[in-house]
Amino acid sequence: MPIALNPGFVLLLAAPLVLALPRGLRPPTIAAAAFAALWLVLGRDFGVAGFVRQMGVEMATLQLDALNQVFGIALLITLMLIGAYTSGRQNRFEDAAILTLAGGAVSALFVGDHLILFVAAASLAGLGATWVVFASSHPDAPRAGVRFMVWHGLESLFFLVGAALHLVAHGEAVEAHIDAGSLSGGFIFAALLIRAGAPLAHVWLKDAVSRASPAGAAALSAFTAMLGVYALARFFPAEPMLMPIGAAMIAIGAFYASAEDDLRASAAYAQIAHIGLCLALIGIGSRLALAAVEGHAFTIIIAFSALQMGLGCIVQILGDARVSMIGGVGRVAPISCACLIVAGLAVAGAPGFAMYPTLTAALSAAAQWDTRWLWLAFSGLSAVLFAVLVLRPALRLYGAGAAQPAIGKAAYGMVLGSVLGAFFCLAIGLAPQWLFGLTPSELTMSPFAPDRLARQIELMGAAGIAFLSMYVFGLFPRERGTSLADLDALYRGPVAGAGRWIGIVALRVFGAADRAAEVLSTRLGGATGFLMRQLDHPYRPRLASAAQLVALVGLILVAALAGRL
Amino acid sequence: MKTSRSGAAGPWFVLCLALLAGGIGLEFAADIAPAFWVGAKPGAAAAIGAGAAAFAVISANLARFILAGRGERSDDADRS
Repeated sequence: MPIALNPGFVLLLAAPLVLALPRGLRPPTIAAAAFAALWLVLGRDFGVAGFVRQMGVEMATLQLDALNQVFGIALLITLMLIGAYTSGRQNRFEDAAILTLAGGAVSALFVGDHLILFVAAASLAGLGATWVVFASSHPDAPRAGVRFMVWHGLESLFFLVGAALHLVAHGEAVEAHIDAGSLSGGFIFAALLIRAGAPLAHVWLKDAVSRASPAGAAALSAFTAMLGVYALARFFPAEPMLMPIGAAMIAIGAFYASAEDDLRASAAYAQIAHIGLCLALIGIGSRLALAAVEGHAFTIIIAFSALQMGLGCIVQILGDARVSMIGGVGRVAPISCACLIVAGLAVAGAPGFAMYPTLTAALSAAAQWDTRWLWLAFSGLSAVLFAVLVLRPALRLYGAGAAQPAIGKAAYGMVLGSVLGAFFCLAIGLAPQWLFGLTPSELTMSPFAPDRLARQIELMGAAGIAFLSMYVFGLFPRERGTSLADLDALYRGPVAGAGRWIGIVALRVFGAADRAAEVLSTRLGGATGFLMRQLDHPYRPRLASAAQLVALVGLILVAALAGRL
Repeated sequence: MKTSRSGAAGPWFVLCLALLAGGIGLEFAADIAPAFWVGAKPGAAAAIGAGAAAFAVISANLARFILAGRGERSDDADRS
């Protein structure tokens, strides 16, 4: 009989375990937990199981369907790769954090339509993600972790309000689709947009990824924003607002990915752009579009984790992965750099690599007159990423000049994880039919049809020639160790300053009010004490008492005279 | 030390030229379904690709000009 256990619970149970295990046993434990969870996913038929009653609410802890199965398989394969990758370094807290993050995310997938359980599991994943950033040894990691926690706090607040309003309006009823126009739906929609890295909330991903450790960056790429894509596909399919939001994400992601010197941040921006593509497809909402989202999310998880793992090897060697400092590293670390180029080709949608088949599905879904602007954005994104995540680093990695002095060396486990990631990028790209078979509306298209293949290689060839020409003639700016301001510069600069100023003013106002209250209470206390003292001696002889006595005697005399009359 | 930018570009240029030629050749040789708009017509992909590369270069210049911080990355403005 199949076990009715949410696969994410296996990872959550393994998280405290790795805290106690010796270094050599932690990576196998992560991989084994991921394998056990994958076995639970694949060993059951679709349906609902694991009913429990908690605080008066009936809930099913496991709902398996085609939608969450695709995401679950991608996340658990990636966790196995990360398990291999983590064997190259020693950090038990980060191992536990990665398992908590993965456990929360996978649990959230498999609670299906149950909103309250989803919110709980997604919030747990958010806490795990924050822990991953805090566990990094990067000097800016503590501050990045605090900023990340603020974003997740805001998201959790929206989730909480939305879920509470939804519970009030709909009771315990489990609803597959939520109306974004309702008050509860609006809060939940806003929370999911934060999780997915929508415009204005897009900065947390690059901030966290570029400050995390190499393994942490791969885990954050896979388990954080993609959960938002899943939830939007489940709860808000065919929501028209998602089309312009997705297009804006593509534009922002492509813009910053082109200019960022830090390749890990550049890759995070590229991921934002691809997530935008997914959101636009969810907004289109046709069966083909939703199937394309499933497939594309799968390849995003694998390809971007592989890219971050490859970049992590460079970080391990040089201390950072900036385009301005990777010159000549291809000769020092040929395997890591080859994996990096393979992952870059996958991210760019080059034929034969992971994201090409799902990109062709996305293009087919958007190939209508009404959505031609999205089709153009999808095509352009592929070309931009080929230029900035393949050609630009490759020209530096294998370029002339002496390599930077290495400060470390990529451990065997890290190289192994990167090679496995590159292998998956190639395997999915060359044989995508099994992935298409997993999608809810089975994709029947052939990505290697001559017209699709011809269009893509023509696009990339033209983009490459144009970019290389401009690069060689000096039109592309020289690589410098600069940082770019994004929206976070606003809240880390002027808004943080304004916050500090408001805090100081509020403290002074509070201090003044406190002192005034103290003076007032002292005076009131004195007056009350005086009154009490007066009341303590009611029979003390005083002038007023004599007058009262005379008045009383007078009243008695009047009453006596009135009685005689 | 300034290094030559063209050194490593040669092999990639040849590769991209081969991709472009192969793509255009295959596109005109294959039996292609009618395009739903001008961007999907044979040869349009090359224009989109070149335009996207130009977008990347313009974005990089624009971002470095407007948004670049000074010096090395130590950009936590809220550092006390």
